[in-house]
Order: sequence, then structure tokens, then C-alpha cells
Amino acid sequence: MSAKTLVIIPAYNEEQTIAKVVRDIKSHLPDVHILVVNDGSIDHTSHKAKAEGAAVIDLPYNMGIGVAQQTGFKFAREMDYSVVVQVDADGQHPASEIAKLTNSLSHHQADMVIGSRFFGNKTSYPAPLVRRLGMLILSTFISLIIRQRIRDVTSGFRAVCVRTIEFLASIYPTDYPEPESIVLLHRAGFKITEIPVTMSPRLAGASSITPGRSVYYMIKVLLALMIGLFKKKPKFDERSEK
Amino acid sequence: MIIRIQLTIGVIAFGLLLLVLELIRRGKLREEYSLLWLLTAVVMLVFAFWPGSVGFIAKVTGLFYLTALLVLSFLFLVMILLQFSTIISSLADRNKELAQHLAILKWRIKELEAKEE
Repeated sequence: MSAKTLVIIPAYNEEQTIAKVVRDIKSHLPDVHILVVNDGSIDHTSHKAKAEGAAVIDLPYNMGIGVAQQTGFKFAREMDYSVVVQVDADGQHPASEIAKLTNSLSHHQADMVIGSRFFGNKTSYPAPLVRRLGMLILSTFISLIIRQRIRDVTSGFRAVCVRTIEFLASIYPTDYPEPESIVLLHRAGFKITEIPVTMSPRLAGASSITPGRSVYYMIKVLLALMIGLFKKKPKFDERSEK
Repeated sequence: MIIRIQLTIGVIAFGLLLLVLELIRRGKLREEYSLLWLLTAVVMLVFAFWPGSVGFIAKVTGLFYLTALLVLSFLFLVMILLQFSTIISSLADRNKELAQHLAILKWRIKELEAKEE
């Protein structure tokens, strides 16, 4: 991993896990830079991340995960990073798996690599049946749209290359960023690859998608995706950027 | 009777027109957002001075006189609300961009200050 790499961790009230997440990444990958985007937390998230030596950007108020992630991409563009890895603040994405993502980015010459839970041993991811079914429907829908099999469309564990950073810094879906960005990037002509990773159960806190809400979530995402398809095709002109 | 209704609507429409113009003059209403309001006032004035116009619209659309009036006023309200929604959307977008830039700039300033010390 010789390229200038930035790990982006959006965090909203994650004081219980953020320090460990940052520490793990530092010990596994001493060369990468870590950026925590504090999305208006009302706890000690920002302070704890700073104490571990991460760069911390504090958004003035809570603006949602998508805006926090895009702030990271804007930062990466400004500071000329060539690879960005997105990691969740709850400890689900093991630092030991980050190298897999960045390696396959160059190996597959992909614009985005998604770390997927649903490759190979499917039983390793414990989730309620309703939620798994919802994810399956979403993944089928997206796979049909982009004519490429994507197994884990809601995974937020991703690595992107420099031209994807440029693009996402200017256009980023804010409502349901994980599934929507796949379709967005595909429509803009970017190459997406998916690789198997192991994920750990979250260290603390509850998922933003509780089992009861997963059906509702799925319907909203499907609607957002369909509306997204009606939008004008995003254009990406590398020379006009910057 | 019809004269009194005409007079009432006419006065209201004229009042609205003056109010919108005055707001623009004082710089409290942007011209770009005032067009729909001006149009509303003008159409009301037309109705007041030419009551036959509503009857004509009622005939063409097949609606009753009163219903036609209601549909027309509702149409204007919907258009103005839709305009508000687009304005709010673009404001929210700009707000997002500003917040992101501000947060990044704040970080960079702190970095610079730390280097200076």
C-alpha cells in the first residue's frame, strides 16, 4: 500500500467504540491517515478520536451519514489522497481486512471495491430473517439494474480510487448512500468489484436499521433507487474537476 | 350584486398587487420569487374586471362556476408551494455544501495554528 491512503470513519455518538476502531487501524496499518468525521455528536466521540491521534472534522450539526461520508471525500480531494477506505465507527469492519480492499482495488483495477459479508460462508453473518430477505431483494434489484451481481449492497466497508474520490466529492447520495452510490457510480461508468470479507458483530450500540424497520427501509431504498434512475445521468469529466 | 363581488375581488387583488410590489421595492421579496405572486394578483384582477372569464373557463373545462374558481385558486397555491419546495431543496443543498466546507476549513486552520506554535 504505497499510495496515499485515507481511512474515513463517519461517527455519530460512537464514544464507546471509536477509540478502539481508530487504535486497531493504527496498529494494523501505521502508514494510513485516519479521518473521523464527527456528525454533530452530543457525546465524547470527537474528543476520544482526537485522543487516539485521528484527524477529526466536526460538522456543525447532525447531517446524516451520507453528508458525513461526502465530507470525507471532499477532504480527501482537497488533501490529494489517492485511495479512500470507508469504515464504520461501530467496530463491524475489522482493521485486518482493510488491506484486502485496497489490494484488490489495484489488482482488479476497480474504481470501487465493496467488502461483502455474503460471500462463501453465508452463516457467519447473524441477522434476522426479515432483514436478510430485505437485503436479498435489494441486492437482486440493484444487480438487475447494473447487470452485475452485487451480494452485499448495504455494506459500508469500501475502498475507492482517486477518480471515484473526485466524483463522489461532488455528487453523493445522502439518503441511503450505500445502495444508492452503487447505482450512481455504475451509471457514471465506474467499475465496481466485490470481495469477501469477515465482519465482526458491532461492539456497542444498535444498528440504525432495527429488524422491525427493515421492511420499511427496503421499501424506501427501492423508491429512492427508482427515483434516482429518473434523474439525468451523472456526467464525469475528469478534466473539468478540480 | 355582481358589481359588489367584482369590487371586493378587485380591491383584494389590487391590494395584493401593491403589497407584492412594495415588498420587492423594499428588497424584502426577491424578484425571482415574486413572479408567481404577481401572476396571482393579475389573474384575480382579470376575474374582477371581466367576470365572464371565469364563466368561460367553467364552460371550457366542464366545471361549475364555483368549482372552476376553487380549482383555479388551488392551482395557484399548489404552484407557489411547489416553488417553495424547490427553493427549500436548493437552500438545503447549499447549506450542506457550506457546512462541509466550514468543517474542513476549521480543521485546516487548527492544523496551521498547531504548526505555528
